[in-house]
Amino acid sequence: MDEQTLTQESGTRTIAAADAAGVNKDDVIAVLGNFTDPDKLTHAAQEIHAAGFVDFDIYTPYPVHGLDKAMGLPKTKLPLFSIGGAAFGLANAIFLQWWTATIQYPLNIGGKPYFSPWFGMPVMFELTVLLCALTTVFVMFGLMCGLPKWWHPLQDDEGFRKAVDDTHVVSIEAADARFTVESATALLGRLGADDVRVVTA
Amino acid sequence: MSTMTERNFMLRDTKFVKSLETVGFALLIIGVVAGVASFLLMDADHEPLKRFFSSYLLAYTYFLGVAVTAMFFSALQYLVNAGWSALVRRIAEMFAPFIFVIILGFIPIVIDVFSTHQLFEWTHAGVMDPNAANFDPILKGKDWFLNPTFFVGRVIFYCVVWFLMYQTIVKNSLRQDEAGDDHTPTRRNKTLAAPMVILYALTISFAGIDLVMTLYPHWYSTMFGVQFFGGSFVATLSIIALFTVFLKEGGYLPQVTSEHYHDLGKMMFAFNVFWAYVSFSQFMLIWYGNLPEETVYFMDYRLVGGFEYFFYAIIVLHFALPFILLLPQANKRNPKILGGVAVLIILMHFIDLAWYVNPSLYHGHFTFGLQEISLFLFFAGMFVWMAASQFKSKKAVAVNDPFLEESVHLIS
Repeated sequence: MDEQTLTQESGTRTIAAADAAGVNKDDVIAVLGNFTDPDKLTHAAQEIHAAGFVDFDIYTPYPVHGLDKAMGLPKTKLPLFSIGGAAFGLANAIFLQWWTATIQYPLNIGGKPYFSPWFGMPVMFELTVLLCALTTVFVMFGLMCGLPKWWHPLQDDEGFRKAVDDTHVVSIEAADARFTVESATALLGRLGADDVRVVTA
Repeated sequence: MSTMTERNFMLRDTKFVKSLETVGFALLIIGVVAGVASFLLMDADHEPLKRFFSSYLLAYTYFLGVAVTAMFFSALQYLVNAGWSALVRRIAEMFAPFIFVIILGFIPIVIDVFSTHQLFEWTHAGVMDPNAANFDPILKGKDWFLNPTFFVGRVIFYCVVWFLMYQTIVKNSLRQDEAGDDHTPTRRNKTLAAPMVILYALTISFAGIDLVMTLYPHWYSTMFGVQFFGGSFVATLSIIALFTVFLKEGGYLPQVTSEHYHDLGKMMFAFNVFWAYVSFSQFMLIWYGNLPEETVYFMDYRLVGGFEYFFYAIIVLHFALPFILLLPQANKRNPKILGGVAVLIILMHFIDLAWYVNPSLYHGHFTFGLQEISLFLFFAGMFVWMAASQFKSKKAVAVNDPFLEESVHLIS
């Protein structure tokens, strides 16, 4: 390895695509390429999906509309969790208000009925919205994004860090059945990615 | 941009415009015939003149809300730099010229305030006179606001504001069609949209308060203007969505995709919930506060004598059913379901408004029938017919809008 190879804190190394010929294939984690133009990126996502890759991901500093479709991602199951959380919140609000106000500790307040859907509605609304939102956020973080995650094999790559600034980063992962360093680098190069590189362990 | 300007979006004598003209004309004729028949057949004991004015006020207020809010929709897109809506914004602007009917339509109400005194209790003879038998000290205390002169002054102010909105927002949008790559009219609209939206908020709230809330002047609610705005906005969005569905499915706007349906559906859903939130907040606070002068508005007027079925219908058909139907993503993208929900909301907004207008005037008597419906159809006929004449003479898409390209490639 020459001076283009950087050894980083966590032990991963980034090698420019041009120098990747001699790399040990078992050490390769992913091939990365950067895009600045979101239209080019969407096109690239379509092409990578069409080429048959499944284990690839795209890191963007902001939501790029239509990328999920271009990547061929399946429809998310998140709304099912959301409506489940909402129904749980609603049931909780109705039961807790009804049970505390009529069974557990009935209080006569200004001659009003012990329980009525009218006064219960704000709490029902709030708990429905609250549990719907909390379920959505935490299911998304936990089940879909795999958080909390203390370390990611790509995090020490200089170019990867631009994904939180002004660059979209595409990574084709070595776990993919079709993956070879040559095919992935060639594909990203053909699609117009800047700074195509290989990250190894 | 070139792909859009090459196409001519003048619909002139297409089937769409012809059908609109036919539908508008048919509604107008049905409205007139049914109206004449229903009012002539009315018993003199049932005060046909009062019924005419109340039916007129109901239909008039409905279309006032829709026509003015259509201009607000356009102004809102400029204000927030919306990219998604450039393709459908012109449809809202086609409804805007109806404000001229609205401005002229104030005349019968002003006549009633000054001479016939059928509608507003605060115009009745004697209520402001301490020596009269029907003197009302509470109304006397409000006479600085509830007097014919100030009422007319406010009405003129609303009309001037709406005229200005039309002359700036709508006219600039039309000027952009001819201006090519010079985006001055759009830039002007972006600046003007902010003050216009503030003026719209004031005028729509006070129009709702003046025309509907003061029918029962002892009652007051600070939510009333907002709830009138919410209902009008969701009805306007439904009409825009319905026209978009007709234009797309008829092949006149091939650039509209399910993404546009999706965004329109999202706005309908959001503002239907907003309207329900505001309406319920008003109702719930009065229920909880339990003050006689406030609860009477619902207890003795709106939840008795048949109007309670309006109340249940509004909860189920104006809120719950559209909520459930518009919740799944696939339904918002389906033109049949989106159009169906739009029709439902358009009709239910009329029931909602009737539930606020009629009980104030006919205490304890269920009053809703052919008279109300015929004037609604009459106004609807004028509205559709006016929209047809607009589609005939103006481009159905804002062809030089700088956001058009973005809107065509919309992915929501």
